[in-house]
Amino acid sequence: MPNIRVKQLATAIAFVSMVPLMSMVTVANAQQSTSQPPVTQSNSGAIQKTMTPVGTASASNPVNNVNPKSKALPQATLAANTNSGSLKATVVEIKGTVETAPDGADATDPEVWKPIKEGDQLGKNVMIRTGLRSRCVLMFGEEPNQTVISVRRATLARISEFAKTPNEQRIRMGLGYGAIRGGSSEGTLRSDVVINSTVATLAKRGTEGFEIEVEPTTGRFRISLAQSGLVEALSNLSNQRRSVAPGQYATNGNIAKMWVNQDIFDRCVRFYESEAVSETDLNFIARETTGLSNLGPGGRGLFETSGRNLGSIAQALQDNGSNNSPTTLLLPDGLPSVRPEGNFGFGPTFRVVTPHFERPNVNRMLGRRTRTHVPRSASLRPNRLTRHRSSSRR
Amino acid sequence: MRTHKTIFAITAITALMTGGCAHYRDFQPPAEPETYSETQFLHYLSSVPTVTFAEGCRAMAIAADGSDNYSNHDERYTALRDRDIVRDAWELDAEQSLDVSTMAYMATAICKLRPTVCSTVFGSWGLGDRRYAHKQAAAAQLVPYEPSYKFVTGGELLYTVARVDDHLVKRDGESAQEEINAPSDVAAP
Repeated sequence: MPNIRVKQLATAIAFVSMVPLMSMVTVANAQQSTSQPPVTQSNSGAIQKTMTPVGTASASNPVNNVNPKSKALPQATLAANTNSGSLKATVVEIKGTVETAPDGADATDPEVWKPIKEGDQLGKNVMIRTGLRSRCVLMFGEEPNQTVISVRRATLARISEFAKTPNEQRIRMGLGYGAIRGGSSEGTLRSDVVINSTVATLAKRGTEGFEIEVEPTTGRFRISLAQSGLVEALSNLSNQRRSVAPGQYATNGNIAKMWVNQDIFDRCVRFYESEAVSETDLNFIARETTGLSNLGPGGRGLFETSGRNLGSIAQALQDNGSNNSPTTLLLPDGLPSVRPEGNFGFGPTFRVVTPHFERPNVNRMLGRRTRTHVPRSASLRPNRLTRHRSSSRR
Repeated sequence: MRTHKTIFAITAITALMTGGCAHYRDFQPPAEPETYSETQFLHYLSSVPTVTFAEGCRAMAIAADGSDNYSNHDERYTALRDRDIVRDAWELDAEQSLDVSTMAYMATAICKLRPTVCSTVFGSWGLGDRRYAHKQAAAAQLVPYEPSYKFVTGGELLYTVARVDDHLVKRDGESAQEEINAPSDVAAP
């Protein structure tokens, strides 16, 4: 019998977490989300209590005015405040043209759109529009449960809901078109952020650096995650969903495909032509000999950001000692050369480019002779590099 | 039979030469777009099924300068032409529909994308300049991969303008440090 109750509760919780993703916001006449009332009506009373907003005690407070009482209130007290208003977000940064209007306003109506300034507080059912080179940063909640939302350029957005429950902080944003970026720091409460648009939905679970960009009228979108956490992308047109990890993105084109496809086509490919490589680049390439840049879709930086280099691959490379074990190579002129292994990012051109920059440290690192020891035939002028590279490939 | 073919061919060629690929939209905006403010105009674009060349010029002028400093299309066109963002050789009317390749040319010119060999050699003659620009702009993710002759919707123009704005913001030195990723990136109010 307890198992059945546990299953019912789990099913109800799963339903509650899934249904809000299906709500969509229209572009101009964004209406208040109607997905929540059916959810609360169709579930048990316990679940209803967890979805009621907190009282107005902290609603009028600034974001940085921490209200310790709200954290200490027992669950029954919080659940009893069912008729209180929702919380408000604080405008912490304004750049360019940012205007707000009541819900349902026409995006081109000059009468209803009013500019806002830093420090203003925005409740739910407020529409926001931005111009070019403009953005608006909203702060939801109080420390340590803060969520920051950046409404970026040429965007029409809407605050649909901002409420706090005993266990979580709920934020619902509507995105007509444009881009929204943000992140949250989860402290005592679970951060539950959902950004709805007509074509895609972003559901966030305590992440940093999430972004959703929607192209107006075309159905194209892009949901990405830059730093940490996990984002769930849902295409409302095809009803497909995808979990987006750091360093990944989902678009209308790839949401139905395997991530390995994305990794292949987005791989960072570098061409070490003499015209393309600066001295700084060459130094970096010479020092970064792990070869990990070829494994990440966005290069080594993204590879590290995603945290995957902390895993088994980099560790295995270091443990096995294969990272810098020397390998003897034969140069085109038949002379042997010792090269640290693990650097599979260098093309044949690199060996020719190196003498032109004449840096002994690079040559020493790569186990090569400096230019003064290179035979005259190997000291090529830049306009002969291509011919030399071709011959080395043969 | 041969006479019929000849007559048909002559008629078709004559029609193409006189009318060309010109297209004028049927959509009537609720108000004159020139009366809109910059922000109003950008958001008005999201509801337009097909944009005109004049609207494209205004959107690109806003993208290039950050604001619209001109009072009408003629002033705007002259200023854009002087900056090589539009060309007289296109012979586009203000009310003519804007196609993807023309929009892409304007976007690449504003962003000053590095030209390719083909666009430099042939584009300087006016031969396929917009088509090459479309390839460049698509590779730079300023415009989507679409047929070059397709007419642009307002949403597509707004998206392209936003991408151009992103490109210019990055080029002008606003680094990624200003990206908002977490509450710690924002100073306390």
